[in-house]
Amino acid sequence: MPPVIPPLETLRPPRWVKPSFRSRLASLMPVLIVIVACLYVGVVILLPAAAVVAQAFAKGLGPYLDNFRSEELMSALRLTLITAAVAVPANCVFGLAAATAIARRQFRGKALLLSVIDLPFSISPVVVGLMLVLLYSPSNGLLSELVNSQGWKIIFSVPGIILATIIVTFPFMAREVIPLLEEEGFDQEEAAKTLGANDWQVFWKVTLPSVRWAALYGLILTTARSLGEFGAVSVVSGNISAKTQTLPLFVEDAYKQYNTELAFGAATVLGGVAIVSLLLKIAVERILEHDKATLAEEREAG
Amino acid sequence: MSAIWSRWRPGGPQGPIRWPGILWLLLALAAILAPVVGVLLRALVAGPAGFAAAISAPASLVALEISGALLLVLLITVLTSTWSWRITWLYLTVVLFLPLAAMVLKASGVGLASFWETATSEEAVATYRISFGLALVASLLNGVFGLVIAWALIRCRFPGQRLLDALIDLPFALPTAVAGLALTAVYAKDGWLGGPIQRLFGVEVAFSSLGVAVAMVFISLPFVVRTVEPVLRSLEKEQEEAAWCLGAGRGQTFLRVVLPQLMPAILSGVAQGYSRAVGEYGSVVMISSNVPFRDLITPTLIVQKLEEYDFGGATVIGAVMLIFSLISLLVINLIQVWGQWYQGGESSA
Repeated sequence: MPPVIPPLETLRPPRWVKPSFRSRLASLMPVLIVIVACLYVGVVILLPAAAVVAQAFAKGLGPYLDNFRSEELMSALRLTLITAAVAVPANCVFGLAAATAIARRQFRGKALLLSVIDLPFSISPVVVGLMLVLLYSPSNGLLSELVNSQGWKIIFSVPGIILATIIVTFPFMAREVIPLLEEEGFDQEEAAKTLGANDWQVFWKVTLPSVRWAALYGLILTTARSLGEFGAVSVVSGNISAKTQTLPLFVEDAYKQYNTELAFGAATVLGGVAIVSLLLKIAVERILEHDKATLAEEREAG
Repeated sequence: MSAIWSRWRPGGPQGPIRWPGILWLLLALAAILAPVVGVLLRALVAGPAGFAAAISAPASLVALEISGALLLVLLITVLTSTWSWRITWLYLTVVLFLPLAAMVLKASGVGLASFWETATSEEAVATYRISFGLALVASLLNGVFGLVIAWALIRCRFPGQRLLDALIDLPFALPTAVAGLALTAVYAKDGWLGGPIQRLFGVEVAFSSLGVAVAMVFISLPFVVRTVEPVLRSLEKEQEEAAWCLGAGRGQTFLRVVLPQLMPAILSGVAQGYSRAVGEYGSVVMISSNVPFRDLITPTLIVQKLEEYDFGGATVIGAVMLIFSLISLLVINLIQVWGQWYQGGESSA
């Protein structure tokens, strides 16, 4: 009868060997790591987030709801929604166009073009606002003659706010869709074309459905950021209460004017939007990962 | 030489010429060389004095450069046949290239001497010290703790893990003004953490440079965690087991086997966080008292200069920040290329 060798994992040191201090410390390491991680995130992120909610509801639900009777708050909310309603669709069109143009082609300068598209992420939002002022300002801008002769109001007005929001948010869509399109390849489009579809039909019926989740992911990020953009907008808006004040600007202004309750009330609206977008993002992320896994499996099988 | 020309004649020496490729090259060359040639011409015609004038007021030359670049973009737009390319180029021109051109033109119109004077004025240098110094502290701190958090998320199992994972993304999702409000509320004198800290250590967190650092930590925390996570997940446990079997201790295994593989990801995360922290405005402006030489950051200085209608000063400081962002973008790309090369070399070996 051959000797039975137990699997390695079940071999443990005998009971009577007292564990050394070092090995006790080593077995404590994971617990320590988790505690440090939780403490750090708690102090840096969780506590501030909780503080906003606590401050907003400090006097109960009634005074909190009274905040929303404020005419300035409501007009700021309206302007924020208008800005997003223009900026988000425009960025969607650009993002999808750029993705279909860039993703499947190999050309010199492709990496450069991709980093140019990513540029707004690395430029400070204040500098983005400054660039717009230097371009369109009626007194000092590069195009001041054109702006004055046409009577356009761009800086310290709604078009400037929308433009600033667009610049800060346009990379999200392209950057989410391009990697997925690169992975998917050209086969289905070519099949559709040989069957007689024109470019437009190919885009609507083949390309767009295949990247719909990535596009939705980009859409969520774009919307969240365009509702909450502060730096670039604050430079171009002029911050005129009830006229060119978006909700994030209103939060800052109200806080500086010691209207603390109003500030925290408006902040909970923005925070709520952020949390909803976070939850949606997690849900879409899971679908995307599932899609990518099936795509990889198909490739292995094929 | 023949290798280069073969690109323009893909069908061999007698084949058709690919015109768009040549146009690209010629236009790019013209755009790059035009100002250089212009400066040299002036030096020839007007002597050393004219040369100095051309150097100190190169606005017209930069204008030539920029109009050349915009012309290039327009030509590409016309040459490219598909609508997706036309939309891409036109959108980029209106939204990105035109504002960038305005910035460069206005900055070059200032003149080299006064540019240098404003960029290195005492006030500006003080803000650089605060912005770039505190961002370095914040991003290095996040480099260490980001690694710990990523380790906890990937290698450990504990209750509340999903919540921790979701919380990491909050600084990305939360509007910066709300983040600033939240941090001020917690770290002010009467806040949950600001009060105890003041009683224990006698330092004020909010409305001081410490508060600026806290805001920068908040804003740059997700970068390291999110860049380290995928690399840590793809590490093979067998390598560590092999190191243990060969007699390495836990510390040695971590320092010599795990950490070198994570290093490119950590550095990339730290660099991204640093770049973000330097440019951050919304949350910092709320938690700092915005007093010059104390806790005034560079973006706030730009805003203040604009409010005083000092467009020239704002342009100069803005140009400094823009140059910094371009350099940091380059460094981040290089780190990522290095990381890919590092990992590729590892798997092929």
